[in-house]
Amino acid sequence: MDLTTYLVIDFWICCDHIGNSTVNNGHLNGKMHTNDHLHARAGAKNSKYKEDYAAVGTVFAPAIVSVAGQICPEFLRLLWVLADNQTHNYYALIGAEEEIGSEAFTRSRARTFNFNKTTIGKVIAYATATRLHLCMHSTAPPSRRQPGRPISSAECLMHGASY
Amino acid sequence: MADMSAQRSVTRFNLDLWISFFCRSMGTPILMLQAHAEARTMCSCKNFSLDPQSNHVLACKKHIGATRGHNHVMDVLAQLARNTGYSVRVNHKVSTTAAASNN
Repeated sequence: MDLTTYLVIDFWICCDHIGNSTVNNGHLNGKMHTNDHLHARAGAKNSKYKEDYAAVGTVFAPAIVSVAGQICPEFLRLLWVLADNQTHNYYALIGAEEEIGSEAFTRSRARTFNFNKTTIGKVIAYATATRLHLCMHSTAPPSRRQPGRPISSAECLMHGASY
Repeated sequence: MADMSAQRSVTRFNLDLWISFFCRSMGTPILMLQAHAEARTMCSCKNFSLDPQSNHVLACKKHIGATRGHNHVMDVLAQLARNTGYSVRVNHKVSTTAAASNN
């Protein structure tokens, strides 16, 4: 009998700002969502997919983060589970199973959890910067550039600063 | 922040990414986007032009940057789970996306 449990993680990077209407060129109005919007989006994902995955014996978990680096509670719980397993594995590897549950184990797990959380935060920062960078360089260069000639980052930076 | 420094060759941000990240974090106009904003360059979604504060770029999902950024985070998360001992399969291409239902 196969006792393997499958977990599907739906990852989503969302924007913290309110807006994106057709008014004012789609620019945002400066207002930002609070933490609740991540929870609400996770709830929307759950209601949309959770039952369908449960029907085929698969667990579904949304992982919602924002471009500002906020992490939804469900994703944090998942990171905590990973940290717990990593710490268990480490203690088993060094042959100190009897110390599992001790204060040293708890502190080690907390350190691992913080490391994982910081890693995700840094990756979100990198992903957001990549998002901006690739969007700029995947679009056609500004019209005053010579057609057919690619614009370098240095040129773009220099001309952008001259405005 | 130390992890992003130039001394860490694996995890450092290159100059362009660092400028984008720093300007975005400070809330200042992104220099490289200003030229596009002045020229009214349209986003890949063909609905809006780019703005120097990158508001639209961060909200829009129909450009290559959104996909690449998303995939990068997924890859790191998958590696994190692999390091824990789980077997992981990453699906970069899905038949239906939230982007379609989010507009």
